[in-house]
Amino acid sequence: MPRILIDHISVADIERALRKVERYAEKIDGRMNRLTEVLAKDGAEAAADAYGSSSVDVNAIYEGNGTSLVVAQGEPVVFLEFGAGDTVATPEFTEANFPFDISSGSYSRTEGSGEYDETGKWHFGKREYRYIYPRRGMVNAERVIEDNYESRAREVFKID
Amino acid sequence: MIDVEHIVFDTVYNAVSTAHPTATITSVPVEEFASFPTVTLMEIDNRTYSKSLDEANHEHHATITYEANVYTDNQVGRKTEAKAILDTVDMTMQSMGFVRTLTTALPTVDRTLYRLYARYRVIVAEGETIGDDTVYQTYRS
Repeated sequence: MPRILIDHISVADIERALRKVERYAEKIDGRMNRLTEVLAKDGAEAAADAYGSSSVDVNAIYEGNGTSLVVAQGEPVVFLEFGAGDTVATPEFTEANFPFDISSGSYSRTEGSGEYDETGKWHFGKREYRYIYPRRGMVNAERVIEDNYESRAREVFKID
Repeated sequence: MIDVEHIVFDTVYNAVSTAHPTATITSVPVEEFASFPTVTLMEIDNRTYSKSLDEANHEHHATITYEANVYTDNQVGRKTEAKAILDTVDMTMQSMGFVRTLTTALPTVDRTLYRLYARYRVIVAEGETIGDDTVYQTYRS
């Protein structure tokens, strides 16, 4: 905010002060949007760091009206954010499952000829189980946004 | 470091095991389930509330985050059972001042399981010794 000094109250002083406030308002117009954009970018970087070099795409998206989003997209994103929560069995043989992705967060498999499960379905390799630990990218994003919002606000709302 | 995990976990453990005696409750990730229902309650973040640091850089408050998972596997009623257990967790966490920031059902690879997930946050002050007890004040984050 501009500093406004009033020695004595008069109509002219108040009008002068109002003009200063109006000019300040014009200068900062749109900066709230800018602030959300900057913070969302910080959050997106933090989330991407947490997910690591996985097949998750993290972006900051400006939605308008002072709203920006941190968006993570990719097949394993739910597993990577929250963990698998349970063990992972190798998938059964279907056309859709072959060839299947073995990147982080997706199904795992071992070498071998495979085996039938208790229901008679054929599975790749031995029925291996693997727990996926959560990487909590969005928790990381939230933390960084909270840490940065004051300093970012000072940068964005600074009047030269 | 302000560490209240043992209090939080013990309080939730007691509440859940009383209301749902068959539940297994752990404070670490479960890689293979021994039984169902299983509840995990883990402190996933504990960081200094920097605004109340003193000149000597001593912390006086910490922002802490917990996550709760409830896994059920009943053929019938697994969703209802999970909700009932999470409700017990939730009431207990709220009674300690935690604010729930997220609740969601999550997909599971094993489709016979049902998983409910919740996150909680609170700001907790350093402990104050009153008689033989250490009392921790909590604040909404």
